[in-house]
Amino acid sequence: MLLLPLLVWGVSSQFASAGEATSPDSLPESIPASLSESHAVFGGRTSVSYGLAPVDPTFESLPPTAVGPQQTTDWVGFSGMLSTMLFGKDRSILETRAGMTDLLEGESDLYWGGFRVFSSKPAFIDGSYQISAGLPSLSMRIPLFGVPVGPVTVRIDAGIAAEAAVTAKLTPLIAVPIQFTSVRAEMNPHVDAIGFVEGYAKWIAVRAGVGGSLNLVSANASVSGVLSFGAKAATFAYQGFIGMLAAKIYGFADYFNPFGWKWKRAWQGNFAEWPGKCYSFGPVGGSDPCASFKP
Amino acid sequence: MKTFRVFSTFAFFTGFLTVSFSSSIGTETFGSAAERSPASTQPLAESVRAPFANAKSPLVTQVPRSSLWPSPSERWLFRFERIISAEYQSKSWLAMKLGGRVALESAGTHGENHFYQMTAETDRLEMEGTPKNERRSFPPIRLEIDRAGKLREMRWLSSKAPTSEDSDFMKDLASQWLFFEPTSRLGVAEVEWTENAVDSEMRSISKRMKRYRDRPEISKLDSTHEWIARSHGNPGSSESGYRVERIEGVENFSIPSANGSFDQKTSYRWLWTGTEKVAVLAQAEIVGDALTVSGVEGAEAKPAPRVDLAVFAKEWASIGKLAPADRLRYFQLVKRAMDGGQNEIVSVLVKALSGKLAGSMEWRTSIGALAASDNPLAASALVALYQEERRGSAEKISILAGLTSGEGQPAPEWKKILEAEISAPVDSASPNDSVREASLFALGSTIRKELEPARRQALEDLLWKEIKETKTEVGALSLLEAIGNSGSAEYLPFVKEQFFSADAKVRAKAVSAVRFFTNDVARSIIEPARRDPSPIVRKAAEWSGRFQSNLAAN
Repeated sequence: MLLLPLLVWGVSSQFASAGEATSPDSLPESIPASLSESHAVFGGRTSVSYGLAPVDPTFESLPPTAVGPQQTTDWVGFSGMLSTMLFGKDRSILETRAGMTDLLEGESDLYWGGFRVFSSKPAFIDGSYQISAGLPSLSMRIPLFGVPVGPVTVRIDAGIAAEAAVTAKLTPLIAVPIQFTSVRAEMNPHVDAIGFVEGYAKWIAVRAGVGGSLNLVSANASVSGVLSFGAKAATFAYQGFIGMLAAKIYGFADYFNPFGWKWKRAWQGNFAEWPGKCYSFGPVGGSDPCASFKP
Repeated sequence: MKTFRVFSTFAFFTGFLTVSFSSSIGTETFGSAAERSPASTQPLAESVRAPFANAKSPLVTQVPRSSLWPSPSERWLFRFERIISAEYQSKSWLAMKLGGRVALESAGTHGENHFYQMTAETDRLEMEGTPKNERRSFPPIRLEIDRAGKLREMRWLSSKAPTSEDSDFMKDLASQWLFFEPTSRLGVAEVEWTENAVDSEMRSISKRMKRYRDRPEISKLDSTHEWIARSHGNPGSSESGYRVERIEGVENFSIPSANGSFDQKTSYRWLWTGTEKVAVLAQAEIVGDALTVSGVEGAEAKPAPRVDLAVFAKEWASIGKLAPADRLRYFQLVKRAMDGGQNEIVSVLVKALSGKLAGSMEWRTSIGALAASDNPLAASALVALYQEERRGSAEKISILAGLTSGEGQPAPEWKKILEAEISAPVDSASPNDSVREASLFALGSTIRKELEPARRQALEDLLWKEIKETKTEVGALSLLEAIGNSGSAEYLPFVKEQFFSADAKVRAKAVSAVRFFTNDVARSIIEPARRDPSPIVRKAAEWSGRFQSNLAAN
């Protein structure tokens, strides 16, 4: 409980200085609670939201006056979140929270594709309480829809495939006197998600298709914090990178030429092409991780 | 996404109902007494004249899809009638008749799965002998039929949440149309099929439910159903084939009780009244921020991809070395090839798992692929992998996580496995406790994915058993997570009880648990939770609300 006001204060001050959008080309010192990138395609929105925060952002977003006196909570920790919207259909991919007190009790929340999958019990390894969760790869399809490509309406098969591994660590740094004791906490979700889009239709003498390559997100960013028992303010730091929504979606239409008895390309073009955005929080392995993020 | 499963609940028509069926065949009116004749006086067997020549192979395979379902350019129109009556202690309890129209048309394809849209309206209603002529339209539903001709799911097409009465009505209609299912709302039946040629142009298939093996209390069972198709068009022409002419059924039975029996009779009849040509034009419309297209589809779907097995076996062994995006594309390709029936992939994936640690990328990708596919062989392989004696807790938990989050249809064997894991003694210090908890979460998810009504009921009962036996707060939290995964409003009383807990953590889990419930049910928990004094409960309400928005949008 002693940690709570310190942590909330620390988070608030951190976010207050991180309110501006982060330029992909710069090397930011901090990031906001969540990043998102959005584009329109086929009349629907395609976007990615990724969040990694030291504490549940609800603390900041809900004014205490709205519901009477503010009540404290014993939940203090980190949360990570990834959701995407593909052609207007919203999908939650990953929701994870590891509370600092809960971590010791083995109560971490982990939702994968909207389902609670398991609780990762902490193990005391090398002086730290650690939890780790390597998740089976996930596939989610989105409801069918169609898009006119030339003279044919193409039925689209679209969806998301994702993989993730999450680790969280809590390391007590005991010191005497007790007020100099601190706790180092860290969460590192490693998440990758791609979107797939494929459509094909053949109608007597016409055929058309849609294809795409969507790197929805590639993230290997960690957030860590050091919390003292009264002597110092809490501090937080991010490391790693987050690349979002690099994509190319194309279409083609062919007609059958009975004279040559073969198909001829009547039209081809791109519905959308996005270079994506990559946020880097310090070099990883001596190289810029954003250099390899492309559609 | 809002998904309804056929036969799951039939509150509107179930209860303890009886019917004496009467109808006015081929007319648009509900019929006067003179026009009607009780179905019980017209034994279905009367129309049976001679057996079909080649009735040896499995029955359903003899009915081509074109006879069961309309082609993309057709809309089949039917007149339907339904009569329901029930008696308790020999006194009339309910007597209801209703009639109306149903339209059935193609609504697109997804791989080898086909979608059909069913629209209905009633225009005749009679309750306890008092008629009421009122037209009432129902939200259309979409039926997804897989390549084996089985129902995969039912989904509302309306963005507005249907009332439970509307829902029950449409599910009841759909269950009548899905004649070839050997199940009814009462459970899995032992079915006796008969196929006959009525004449040179008409074929008839009869289904008799002999008994429901899980419902021994049902007596005086008289459950006969008939499906009749008539040939049309000139033989040999592209327009020729069979068209569903009529389906009808009677289901009468008793349930004895201490104070007297319930006698239920229900019947239904559908009559083909016409086929409309559907204009094949693109109709694109932006609803909200999503594009919807209706009325048009490609006449031929792209075949599922096939994987070169020799190359695949070699490449998959080092799948962990690929860049994440490339690995995920490969994963998706393999899943789709398995969905398309390339069974050989399953054994390659199983081999690739040998000697791999549960946390390794090879393990996670292979388990994910098996769990994501709707290939039955992949589902069985997942069971076999789990049951291997050498399997440790970490591997078991990973397989259970795949089962929980995967899109594939779970194998029926999971019920016994999950039951055994869940009933293991609780010991929070043991790794087996993690397996137990993961099994509970998997049970919830399996309930959500199970389409077969009797199996779903058995899974739901298993979770109920746990709910009744669990007394601790930690146990309640796990159960709420399992309920959340199930999306089954069956457990609403338990969720509501937990929602009034003094512990904010429990309240937050109760709110999270309703995320996949239907909108109207979930709202009764989410709305008050938005005003909860605890921020974690408000946050949970916000999170659940997001899933609810998705249900409405999908």
